[in-house]
Amino acid sequence: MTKLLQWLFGVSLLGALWALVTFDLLDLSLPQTYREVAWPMPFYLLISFGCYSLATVGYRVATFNDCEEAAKELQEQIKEAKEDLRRKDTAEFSSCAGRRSLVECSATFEEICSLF
Amino acid sequence: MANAYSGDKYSVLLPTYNERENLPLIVWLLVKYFGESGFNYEIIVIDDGSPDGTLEVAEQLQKVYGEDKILLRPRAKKLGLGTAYIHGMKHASGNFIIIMDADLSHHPKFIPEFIQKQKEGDYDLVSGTRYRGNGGVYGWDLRRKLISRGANFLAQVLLRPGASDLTGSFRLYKKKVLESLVEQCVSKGYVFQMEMIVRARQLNYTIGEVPISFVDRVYGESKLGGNEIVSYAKGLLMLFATT
Repeated sequence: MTKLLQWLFGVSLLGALWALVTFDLLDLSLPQTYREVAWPMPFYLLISFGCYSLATVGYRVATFNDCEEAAKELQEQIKEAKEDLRRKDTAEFSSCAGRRSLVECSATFEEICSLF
Repeated sequence: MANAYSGDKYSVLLPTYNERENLPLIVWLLVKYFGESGFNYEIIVIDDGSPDGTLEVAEQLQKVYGEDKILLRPRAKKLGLGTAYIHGMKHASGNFIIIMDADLSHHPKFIPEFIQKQKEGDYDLVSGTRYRGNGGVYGWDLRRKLISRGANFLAQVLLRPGASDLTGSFRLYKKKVLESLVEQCVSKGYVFQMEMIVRARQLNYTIGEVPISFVDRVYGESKLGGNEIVSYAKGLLMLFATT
């Protein structure tokens, strides 16, 4: 069963139950209080769900981790990587004069890193 | 180096488009962390005809690190993520596949944690999550965080997927699991990654999670626009109605 069908089934079930109690469809002669409580239930449930959603999303946004250290660490490692690649690259290509080096390709990173 | 003898090999798929500057750095980091952990690995670069010469850089990296460690599987033009994975996997010699972004938003330091987690529960797939534990994001403003959490909440309510981060693309899969999933998934973009997790659940694959930090350095250039939000909503409704 797809999620859509699950939802439709669930909603129909609850809807039938609600209609049963609110409109006394089976002539069960339930006490008046049952009917009075049942009648606004769909509205209450929607509002409750709305509040729960806002609260949950709000809480999750507020507690969303900001990875400052991860960004700093990455910046450090980029520097380290470029140094290491510069060494490896020169060793590899000392005989290939015209070849663009790996590190030249990363040159604009200094610009990007300076924005951090 | 006990890890190298366990018989497991990890193939990292790196789809690239205009990553000339990032590619040497991500490869350096991968080599560093795999080297330290001792696990057997290979890196497969799938370049979609980048005009900035990413493939040229990849070839130079092959010379530095060896053709057994860096494999190139280029394509003529941008053809989408799903097909990139299929294409990359064809020549992957690992029994595990790691998918990640090549723009340094995903950090290879988490890969040994993914591997550890996978071994713990023999999980079919391990997903990096930004939303649990000490997972998180760097470089997002309030608006972006709100959209992210809101979209994720909606997906959780509608799909009840059993994973906290559906749109994340930093994951470890058993190779046969990824092969079977990619064949079935039809969506694009964010929705593709969501569909993979949802279908994995459908097929009763087990999913483990590892908190990761996501360092977004391109957010300033490519803000999340109305188009992407609309296509996300459409994708979500499609998954809701069909899975």
